[in-house]
Amino acid sequence: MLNFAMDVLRLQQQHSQLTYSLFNEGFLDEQFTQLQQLQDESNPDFVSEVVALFFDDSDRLLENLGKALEKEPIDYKKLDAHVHQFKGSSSSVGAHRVKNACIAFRAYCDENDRAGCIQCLQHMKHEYYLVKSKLQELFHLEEEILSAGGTLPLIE
Amino acid sequence: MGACIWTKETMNALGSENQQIALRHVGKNFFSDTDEKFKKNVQHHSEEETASNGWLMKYSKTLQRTTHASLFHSVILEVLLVIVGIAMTIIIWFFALKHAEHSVSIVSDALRGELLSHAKAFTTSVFEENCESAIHLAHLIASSLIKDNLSSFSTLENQMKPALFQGYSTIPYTAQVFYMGKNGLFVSYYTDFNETLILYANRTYTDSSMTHAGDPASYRQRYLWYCQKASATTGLPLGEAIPTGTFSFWGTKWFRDALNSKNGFATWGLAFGQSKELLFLSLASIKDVSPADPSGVLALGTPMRILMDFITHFDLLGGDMYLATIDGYLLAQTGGAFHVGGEIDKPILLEATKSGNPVVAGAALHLINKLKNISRLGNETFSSSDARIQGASYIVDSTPIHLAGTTMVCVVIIPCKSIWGHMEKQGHTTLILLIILAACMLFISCAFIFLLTRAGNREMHLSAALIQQLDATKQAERKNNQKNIAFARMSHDLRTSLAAIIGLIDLCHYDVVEGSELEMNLLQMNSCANNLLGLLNSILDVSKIEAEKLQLDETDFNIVQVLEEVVDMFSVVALEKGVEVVLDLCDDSAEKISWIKGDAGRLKQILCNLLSNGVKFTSEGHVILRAWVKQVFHSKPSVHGGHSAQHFRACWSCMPKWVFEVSNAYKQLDAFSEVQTDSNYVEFEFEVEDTGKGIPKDKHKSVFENFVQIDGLTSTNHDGIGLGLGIVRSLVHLMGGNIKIVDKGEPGEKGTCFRFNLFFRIAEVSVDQSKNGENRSLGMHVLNGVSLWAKSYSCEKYDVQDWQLRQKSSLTSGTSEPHWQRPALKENVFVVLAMNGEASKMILKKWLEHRCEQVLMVNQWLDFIPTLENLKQEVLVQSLRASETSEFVSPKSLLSDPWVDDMSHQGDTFSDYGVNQLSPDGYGSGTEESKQRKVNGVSMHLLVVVDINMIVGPPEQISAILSNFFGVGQVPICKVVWLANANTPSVELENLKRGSVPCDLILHKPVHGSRLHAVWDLVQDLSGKRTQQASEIEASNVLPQTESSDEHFRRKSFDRPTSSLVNFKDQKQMWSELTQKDNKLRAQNLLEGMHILVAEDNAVLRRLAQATLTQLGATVKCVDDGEQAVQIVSEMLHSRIKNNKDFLSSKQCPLKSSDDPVQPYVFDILLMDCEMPIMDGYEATRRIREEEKRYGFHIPIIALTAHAMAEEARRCIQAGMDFHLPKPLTREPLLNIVGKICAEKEALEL
Repeated sequence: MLNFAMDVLRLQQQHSQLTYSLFNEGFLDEQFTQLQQLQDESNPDFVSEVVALFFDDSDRLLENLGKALEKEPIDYKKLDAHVHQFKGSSSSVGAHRVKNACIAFRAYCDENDRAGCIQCLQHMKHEYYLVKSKLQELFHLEEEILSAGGTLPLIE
Repeated sequence: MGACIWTKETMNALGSENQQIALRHVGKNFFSDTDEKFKKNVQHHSEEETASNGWLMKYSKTLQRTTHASLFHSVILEVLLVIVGIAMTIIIWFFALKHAEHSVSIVSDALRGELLSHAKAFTTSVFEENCESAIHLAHLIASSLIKDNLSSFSTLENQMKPALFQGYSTIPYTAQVFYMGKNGLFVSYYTDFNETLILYANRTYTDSSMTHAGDPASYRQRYLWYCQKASATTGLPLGEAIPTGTFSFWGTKWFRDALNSKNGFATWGLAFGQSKELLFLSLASIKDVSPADPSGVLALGTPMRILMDFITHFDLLGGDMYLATIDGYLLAQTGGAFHVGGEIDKPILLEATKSGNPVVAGAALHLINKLKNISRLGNETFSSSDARIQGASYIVDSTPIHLAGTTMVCVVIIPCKSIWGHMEKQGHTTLILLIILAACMLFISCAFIFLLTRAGNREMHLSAALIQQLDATKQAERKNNQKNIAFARMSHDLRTSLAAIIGLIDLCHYDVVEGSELEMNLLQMNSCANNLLGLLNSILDVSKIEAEKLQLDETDFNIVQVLEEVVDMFSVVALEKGVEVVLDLCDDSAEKISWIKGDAGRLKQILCNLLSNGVKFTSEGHVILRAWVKQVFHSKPSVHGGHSAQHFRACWSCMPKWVFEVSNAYKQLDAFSEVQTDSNYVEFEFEVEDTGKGIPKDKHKSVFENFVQIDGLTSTNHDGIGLGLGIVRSLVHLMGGNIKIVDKGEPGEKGTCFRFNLFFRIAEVSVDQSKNGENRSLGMHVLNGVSLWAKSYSCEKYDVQDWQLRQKSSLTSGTSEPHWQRPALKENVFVVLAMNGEASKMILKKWLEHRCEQVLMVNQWLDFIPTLENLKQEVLVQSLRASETSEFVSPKSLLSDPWVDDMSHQGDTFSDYGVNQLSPDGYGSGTEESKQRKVNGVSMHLLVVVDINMIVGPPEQISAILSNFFGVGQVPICKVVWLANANTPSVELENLKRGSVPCDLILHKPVHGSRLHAVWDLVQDLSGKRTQQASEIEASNVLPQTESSDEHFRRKSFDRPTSSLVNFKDQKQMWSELTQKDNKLRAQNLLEGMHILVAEDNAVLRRLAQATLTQLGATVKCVDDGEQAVQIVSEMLHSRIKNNKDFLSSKQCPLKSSDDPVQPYVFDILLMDCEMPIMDGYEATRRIREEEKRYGFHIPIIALTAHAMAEEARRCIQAGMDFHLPKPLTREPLLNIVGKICAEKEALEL
């Protein structure tokens, strides 16, 4: 029993550390906090649901973006539209660094700078996969905590 | 940058690093975004510039070329003109000369012919006559001598001699008369040296030896010849005879010819006369014996000299003439020596070619050369004009003269010079003149061309310069325009970033410990950011105005409320500087037409700018904002047209100041009519006066230009970028008004006074609506935050019937209602006014004086008690007087100025359009009434207005003072109003509220508008005309901290800052309210039972919206795009209507949808994203609206936009949406809007 409690405590500690680092390093912003605040008894998996939606959306959009960039000539309007969507979804989830990458990408789009776009896409993908893995890790931890019978620490 | 530094410092202190990072990110983005936009725009500009430059170069080159070409053409034209001119002159000259020559030659021909014929005629006549005479004489002699033998000398002497003398003396031109006998007898008369001489041969033989018998010729030489003088009259010989030499006439050819002549004609011959002159002899034979054998010959000698004389007398124009025989021997000539050589009987004639006259010789030679056969001259006239004699040209004419069987030639030689010479000379002169003329013309044309070229060049340069100038202007204009557009374009990004910063600060505030230093820092950060936003907004406004993109957002609003808000805002700021900010509504005309339609935000902006300027530049004194209604325009006669028109006219006539402006006003009305359609307009005039350092007169115009500050760059102590007044002017112009700086009343007075007028439409608020509005505001004021008193103001607009009703009631009962008309003077109310601040005191005093009997001013707290003392005295005196006489008239009303009197009768003459006016008939009733009241009894009502800052010592003392003063139990009806400042310690306020101090009302300075109305209510309470309850409500409303409605209103103003100035203390309050409010809202399920449809393409956002709404208790349905939304809504509407019908048929009563579980619900609200694939939000909205029309239904649609721009919002509204929200959906704005929707619904259902 004690062991079990220790486990939970450790997991909770890990969780809060991870959350802290996520916010501290700018992966996430206050929007994510808002998401968490929206999660309640009626909506127990709201955050993970939204984030999953975000992942799906993002995978699709990134694929689209890759395709759009390979095409010749590049349809910058379309590209911009994709990035705009991506920006919208990332900002609504609070994936801050992805959002910033999107902003940079849009700037390049405005200038019709292909090389810049490709570079940005790489950066964006990088950021995206980073935040994805981090979030998955977070959710994994949360699941573990819940399955261990603990409660999630409240995020300020 | 200030904001940036703040951000860092605050964040370091905060220590919550995630937010710090977020802020930094946003900040960085903000600046980088801005930079990029600027760069891009600059690049864009430079490209355009180069393009336009190229075009210009081309244009100017073309222009130069065309100018060159036109110049060249004109030069060529000029040259051609000159050439043609010269040629024409020469041709004309040539033809004229030719013609003259021709006519002259005709004349000369005639002349020459005349000359010739004359000569011919003369010659012929002379010689022919002589020939005839000779024949006749011969006949005469022959007939007379027929009897005698002529051969004897005696016969000769007796008979022949007198006959001859007769002939000699009678026949003209005869120089010598001869008789030559065949036998050698000879008699002749002749003239020598004027002596008549006779020459004869007598019988005396000189040589008798020589005898030739039978041969008559043989005698001839033997006769002796004598010459003897004779009498000129008788012919008889005189003197002695002198023997002289003979001449053998018988041997001459002409003698023989004459003897042998058979036909009886005379013959001719030439001979030398005795006087050695050439004679032309006319010979006739004397046939005395037989016609076949003449005995002798009679000859008449005509001297050639006569002919010569004759021809010399001709005017030959310097020419010569000669007479010659056919074979070229000269007979006579003009000029030169004429020699005849040879013997007397055999003269040797000179050949014409050898004549002594070189001209004659030359002419003869010319004739010989010219004519092969010289004898031709004898047959025909001849003329030659090309003779050259001695280097001169001559015309030679000849004509034959036929005479006595022989022919002579008459030649006239005339020098060409004498005929043509004059003309030629003239011609030459003309030619020379012409040439000179041509040369002059050439020179002049050259000069002209030179000048033309130079002028052309200059013009070309000028035009090139002009084009450059034009281009420069255009470029500058374009640049300016581009800049403005760029500014306007940047707005979105800049504002978004700034909004994010503000939002982040907002977030930080949640976590902060209340009252900590960090909180203060955050507040300051927030205010800085808001300042920045305000600054940005003002820059954007300028650029928008200049790019002419600014549009007025017209809504109904209460102008008094706006004015109060603005003044409130600045009074707090000014308080710190020790400056008063006062609102002066002057004649209260603004309150009467307070509900107007216009852009409240812009009006606020104008006022904010002016007030902030006033506060900024005023270090002591006051800033006064005045507002009054200047004119009201009626475009359409109302239902009670005659009535209102009458009032209108009365209004004009009663205000003499306006009378002069009537025509002007109507003109303005006409000018305005294009904007006004069917509503009434009101012209407000505003004045912002300060006591600052003022603006120099010469700068009065330039202050309204953008980026101009009066003290230039040196003013480091004043912030701002000099845009304020520029914006103000632009906005005022946009609203149809004009702004100017007016001179203050006294020349030495410090400060500035801005005056401007604006036009607004009078809002169409009927009584019913306004009442509805009041109900609604009571019900919903928590949500929509409209303060109660403001709504109650909407009662001010009445229609005509209502006005009439009120007029009646006021006449009968004498009571007056607040707000909508000027209250009657309260005679028995005395006011003691003890407050700081000169300007506000004066205004308050003025206001109170219009309403109360007497207002006493207390300047120092020490004066308070003495003032009360005075008052008491006065009242006592008055009451005494009142008891003495019923005819008492209050001194106040006697002394009061007409204006005050006017005000006291306001109620009687108040018209439907809200302009106060004085009607003569209303005068009496008012005063009558007041007198009445006076007589009935003296009761003194006291209103004490005390500034809490004025009191020295604890405020509790006032009750003591009052009771002491009047004596316990005798305290008259007394109300105490406390004036508090924003910085009044809350402890004191609490004290006041607790009731330990007599306190009926606490008012925050500045005292105006609603607060004045609260005071007025108190005054009415004093006169016992108003219920206590109403007063409480009013009073509570003016205490901002106690009522949530006011609190909410303040929050609203924080959410949407309209000016660059935000007060720290206000904000602090707001912060705490915000947090409280948020918690409160979170706990409630405010959207319980609501059905909401969300149309959003982005899955994440959709989920987010769903979660947010669900948490608030709403039932949510989500769709991906507009088309689905349209489909769902239309299906729903359809089924609902169908069901409704079913219900109607079955139950016979309509039921509300929410009450009936069977009936499908209809969405209460639609949240619509604007940009969606397949069908966007605008289109979907339009379709839904169409669909709704069929069912007569209206679902409120809220647009979700990524852009917070006004135009985006306008687009949404145009598409039929009701509201719009910025994209990341958040709780508070949504709730606000939902609140509004509910309010409307309720209003409808009611």
